[in-house]
Amino acid sequence: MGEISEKLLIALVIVAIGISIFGTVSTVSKLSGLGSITGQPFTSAPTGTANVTVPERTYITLTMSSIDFGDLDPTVNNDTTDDSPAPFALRNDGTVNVNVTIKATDLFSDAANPSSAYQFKSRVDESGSVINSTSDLVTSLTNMPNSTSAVSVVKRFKFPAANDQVFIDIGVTVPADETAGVKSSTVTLTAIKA
Amino acid sequence: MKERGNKTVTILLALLVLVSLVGTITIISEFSSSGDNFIQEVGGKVNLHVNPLPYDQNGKVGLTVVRVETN
Repeated sequence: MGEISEKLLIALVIVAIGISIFGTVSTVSKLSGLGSITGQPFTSAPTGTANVTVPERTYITLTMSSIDFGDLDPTVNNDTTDDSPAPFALRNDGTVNVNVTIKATDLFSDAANPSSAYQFKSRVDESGSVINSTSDLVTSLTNMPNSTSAVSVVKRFKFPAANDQVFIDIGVTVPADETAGVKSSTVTLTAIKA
Repeated sequence: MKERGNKTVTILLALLVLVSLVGTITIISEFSSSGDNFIQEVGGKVNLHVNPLPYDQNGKVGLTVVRVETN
């Protein structure tokens, strides 16, 4: 009985040491990428160097997240390019430039996405919010993709606070054979580090 | 007496193993979740209401034109 207990003790010690070493190595290797704080605490006029690494974070916010075109007759079109109604307003609140894609559920029962009945484009709200305002934006109304195939809407979207907001315009044309009633579509914008 | 001491040490070591295991799993899962920082989704809504068009008695769109003849 005493011999079995000693073997068990040895096995437990080995397992505990193994787990501790694995945990320590994993933690140290992860923390090594976060920088360090160093100093000289024993000198009479100590100087120190603090290194701080700001983590890369992708974070966008729709400050205007709903567009209501109100009552429209069949064949009538309207869009948000004149700010009436107001377009989606998208702000980059992260710490990196991002690329943004767009996709949406169908708006009309008579015109599945992609269709000229439901379109989008992008433009800057705060100037300089993208690196190149021609190539980084979708400057003309483009058919909205369906909810399974997102397409680019803003590239290299900048994050500094003074230049970090763009508008996403929406254009609609009610199909001639669309049934009367309330129509709604969910638009999904996805940001990925540029 | 010696056997009782061994039992105590065994229990303590078993606890040590358990704590080490839980700590390691917690730290690893915490770090692995930080990868979600690079993709983010937000959602918006587009709403409108389609007006019904006037229909004539034959079910065709448009106004019914009634021709009235007088003598």
